[in-house]
Amino acid sequence: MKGDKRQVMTWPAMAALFIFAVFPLLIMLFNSFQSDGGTGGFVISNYVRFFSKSTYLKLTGRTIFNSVMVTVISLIISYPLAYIMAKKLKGLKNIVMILIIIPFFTNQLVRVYSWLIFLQDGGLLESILNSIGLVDGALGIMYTKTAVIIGLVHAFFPYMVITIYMALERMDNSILEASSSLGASKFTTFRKVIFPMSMPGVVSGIMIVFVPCLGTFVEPRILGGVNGTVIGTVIEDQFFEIYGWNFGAAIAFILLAMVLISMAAIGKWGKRYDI
Amino acid sequence: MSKVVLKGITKKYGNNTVVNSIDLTAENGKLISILGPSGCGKTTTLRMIAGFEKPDGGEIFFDDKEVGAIPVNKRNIGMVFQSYALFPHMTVEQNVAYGLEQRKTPPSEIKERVAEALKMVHMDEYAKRKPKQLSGGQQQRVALARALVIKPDVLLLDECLSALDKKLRVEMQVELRRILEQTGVTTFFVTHDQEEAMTLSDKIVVMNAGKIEQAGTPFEIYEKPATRFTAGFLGKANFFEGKALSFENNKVQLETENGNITIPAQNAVVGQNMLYVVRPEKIRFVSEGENGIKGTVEHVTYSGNISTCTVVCSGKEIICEVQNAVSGQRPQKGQNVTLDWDSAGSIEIIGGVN
Ligand SMILES: Nc1ncnc2c1ncn2[C@@H]1O[C@H](COP(=O)(O)OP(=O)(O)OP(=O)(O)O)[C@@H](O)[C@H]1O
Ligand SMILES: [Mg+2]
Repeated sequence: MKGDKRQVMTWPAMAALFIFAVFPLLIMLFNSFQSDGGTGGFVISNYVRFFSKSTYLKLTGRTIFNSVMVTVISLIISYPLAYIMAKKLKGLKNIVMILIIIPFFTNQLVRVYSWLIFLQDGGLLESILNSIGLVDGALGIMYTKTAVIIGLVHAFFPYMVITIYMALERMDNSILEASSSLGASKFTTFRKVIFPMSMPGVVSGIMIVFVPCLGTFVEPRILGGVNGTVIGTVIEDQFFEIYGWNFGAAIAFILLAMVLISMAAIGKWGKRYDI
Repeated sequence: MSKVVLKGITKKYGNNTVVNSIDLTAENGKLISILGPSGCGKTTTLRMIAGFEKPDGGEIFFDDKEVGAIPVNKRNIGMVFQSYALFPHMTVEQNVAYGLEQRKTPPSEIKERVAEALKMVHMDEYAKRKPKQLSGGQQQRVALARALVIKPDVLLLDECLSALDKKLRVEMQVELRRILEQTGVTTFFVTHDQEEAMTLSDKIVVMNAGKIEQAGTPFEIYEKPATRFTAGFLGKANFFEGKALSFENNKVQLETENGNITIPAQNAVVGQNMLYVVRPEKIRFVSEGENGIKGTVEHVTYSGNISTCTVVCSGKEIICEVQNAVSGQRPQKGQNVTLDWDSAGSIEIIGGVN
């Protein structure tokens, strides 16, 4: 009886959730099964079109490749950084943390255009590299996959730093002392104790970088130009340029499926490291 | 397996001297208990022996070898932490095997020794579990097995039995004693439990505020406390303090803050301030008319084998314990009684008055 009454209180929230999240999604789902001709019949031609054209499959491949690269590079940058912050820095770590999370508070476009200015031919990076003699002449990074990945790494690696940092920070120091008291060197302690115990943080970091990376379109478009086309930009084009809403909706659902599958896969893999 | 000697060990955190120039010798294969109030520096002392903390002064020797330059992982110590510190991502078995793996023990031998160690602490059934699936007491036992399995030269136990219930604790104490006798490992044992320290130790070290108050056998510490702190910290104690007015026939008359009182004693210097401690079980009730200290029973606590009575004698509370040998013969509240004890029961604490 009491439980029923309490449930009533969740109804407004449920209703809001339905109206603003589930309902639009259902409309999109419905649209994705409509043909652009508009006969009103239920067709799967939008999905067939996606999977039968090699362009789209290639874009899918590139999207996944970008996400993998961004995740791997973020991991390589974030782990040592998080480790140093958690274990070596004392008072300084708050300042470093603030520096790392500043990108969170920067407008996405400002951030991306800053990279554009920095990376473009004749830009700041070029002059620096030219002056120290590392590169001769034009840099040629802008409007390549590299530029996209640089922009995405910058956008996403702070999340990874934070998840790994939290895993390392809450590690009880006496566990590490126990390891050395049992005869382990510093390196062995890292390999056998610290690293495995930080894996839950690594797994959530991978999840939190890889998954949203699949759907990005701002960095690929601005920093990648024609070389930056990914699923995200295709969906955007379908909705805002070509007005192919039905096809756009179908691709969006394919992307959603990719997101869900990768979340499930990463989650399942991460279960192994549950502490 | 090593004799451990601490010479003038000092540790400071900032301006705070946590351990203050302590000297301590642990003979090979003996069990030394470190006893003292919270924050007196017990854990810090253990951590210096282990090598986790560098002393700010003094030296530590394992078998005449100064170990200051030897890092923790080369000291061959076994340590059980106050917080157990098991590896949460490893099973019980893997936890116990860890130290042997570091020593490059062959896998077949590791398997054997791990099984043996787990059996020793009655945890063999839990070999495949993760620490979080164990109770506090079970975790402590795994931590103990993990420290013992490597056959350390020195074993450091920081309140390692404190999470166990009474029955298991006594069982583990007996086990520990047996294991230590078998392995002959020199052991430092930090505990809050006086009874545990009494029954287990070859030597008890009483610490207070970073200093050693007294070190000795359990008998010495209890029967011949050297300081007021030791006497009060270990077991119950009645203190009699005051200027000796007279001393004859093994009776001293003291001028205390509660007025003059005459107690049995073997020694006194007339005219000087004296401090005696009398253990409650040394005091006996004598029949009226006999010589003794007269008082009224204020309070009786029954605890099975003994009754603890608080007797007020001209304003001073005296705690005494009587055996409940014959039921129904316990002192009653409000009863007028006469107390007496052998003069040897009054332990004179020299230099205790200041
Ligand atoms: N890393 C540290 N930095 C500063 N002070 C410390 C540090 N470790 C311990 N202390 C201080 O040193 C004193 C002794 O601590 P220690 O842990 O040795 O006490 P203990 O005798 O083991 O107490 P307990 O019985 O509560 O475990 C305490 O006052 C404590 O606050
Ligand atoms: Mg302690």
